[in-house]
Amino acid sequence: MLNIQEIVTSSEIGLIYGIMAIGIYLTFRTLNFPDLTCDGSFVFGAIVSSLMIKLGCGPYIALILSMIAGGVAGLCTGILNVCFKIEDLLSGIIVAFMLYSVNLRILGMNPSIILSDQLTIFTNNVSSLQILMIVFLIVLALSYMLNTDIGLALRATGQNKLFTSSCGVNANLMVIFGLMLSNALIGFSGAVFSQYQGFCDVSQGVGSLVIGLASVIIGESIVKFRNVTWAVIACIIGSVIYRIFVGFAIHSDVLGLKTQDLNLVTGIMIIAMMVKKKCCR
Amino acid sequence: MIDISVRSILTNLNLTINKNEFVLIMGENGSGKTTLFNTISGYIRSESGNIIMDGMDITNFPQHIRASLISNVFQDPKSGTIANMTIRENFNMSYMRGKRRKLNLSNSVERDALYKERLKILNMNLENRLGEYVGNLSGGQRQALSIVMSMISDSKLLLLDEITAALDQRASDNILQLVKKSIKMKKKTCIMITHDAKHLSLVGDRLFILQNGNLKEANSHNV
Repeated sequence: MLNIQEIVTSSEIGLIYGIMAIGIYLTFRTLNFPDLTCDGSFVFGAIVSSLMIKLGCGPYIALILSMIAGGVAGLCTGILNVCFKIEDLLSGIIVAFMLYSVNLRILGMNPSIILSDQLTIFTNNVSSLQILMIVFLIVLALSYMLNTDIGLALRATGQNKLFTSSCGVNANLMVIFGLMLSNALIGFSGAVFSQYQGFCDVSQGVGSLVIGLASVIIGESIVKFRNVTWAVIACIIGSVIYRIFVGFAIHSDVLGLKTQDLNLVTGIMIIAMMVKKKCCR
Repeated sequence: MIDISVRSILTNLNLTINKNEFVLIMGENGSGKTTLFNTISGYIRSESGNIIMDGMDITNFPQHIRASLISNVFQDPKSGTIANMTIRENFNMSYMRGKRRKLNLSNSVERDALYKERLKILNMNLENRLGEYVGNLSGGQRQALSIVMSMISDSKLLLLDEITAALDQRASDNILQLVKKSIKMKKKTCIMITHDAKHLSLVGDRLFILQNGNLKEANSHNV
């Protein structure tokens, strides 16, 4: 069974991954764009942040730079899709695929960067309150943005491009903007996570898309409100619940599951939530 | 004055419409009526020819720029509204047509008052349901809503594409009366695609028949 400390740790990781879930919510649900850049941009953000810290950059500046790096990854996906008419799924896969080489190139000969002797936002002590504050600010800023005229246009683009264009919105530009915003958040999440655990490596982002999607689906099935502010909060709640649930499943002696069963547990969770959603209709 | 000269699918097509005029276009299925609308709106680029509005050549304007001059009401009310958004949010989208979108909150008391005032014309009690999702409305209510939404911006030309096609007779008559009333009030120029010549006596000033890519002026008797 999980003890209190393990539940707290799972919640902290859940909160950090919740930022990534918001990014996935933005593309999959708001923009209606199945963006697979996530697996690449999560590590890209983590590596940029870790490298900048290694080079003596302040940890908060490193977080901002990782956000920009994620945004650039999203921009590439957007350009491939909008300008070169490459299908949405494929454009994301291509960028994520290429980012793997970029990440390796940034890392040089090392497969990972260790931050244990570096100044990070968690150097003095890992505080749940500190993570909560970061998540709160992200949720606040994003909820505000999605309720502005620009945010409304972004949401409308994913729902009805014909109507959105007829309202004077450049739908192509909105797709690029949405992808940039989403991947900026995912990159930021990767950076916070790397600072939290004190290292990053090139394989860190593998499966992050599925984890993010699981969080979004869990959040949606728990929080029933349909407005955007609640939808954003739901991603965070879903992510925390996912982490705690996975923690329970992995640490449960009764089930006999081990760490390597993580993907299996995640998959079963997603299926269960989706079946529940369908049955409740 | 609006000059439209489109070739290719629509060959040698010339149409001049006076300001504040209400023009009806009829034609068989596949005659190119919706293509004509899509060309005027900018969804389809014409291979040659010019579209001139108020003396300004808008042929090369992208669709989202043309939207500040031209409003559309689509045949299917689902195309002209967003089901997963509230009536207020749908209105906010239309309200910003032709305006620069900023990072200001889209909901405001002033906008709500304006939307309520416009929705009262419909007599559907929608003015008291601004927070309701459009997906909960009936087809007729959604179409009426999209017509009112199309009138909220300062666009000069209104394109109505078989707006009563999905409605029963009563709802259709109500919608046409609403269009007539709103266009008179907002002093807009309007082109409407229809399959019913009776609409000429109800709302139109002139009637054109689209046949083999050409437009011919007609009246309700010789259709």
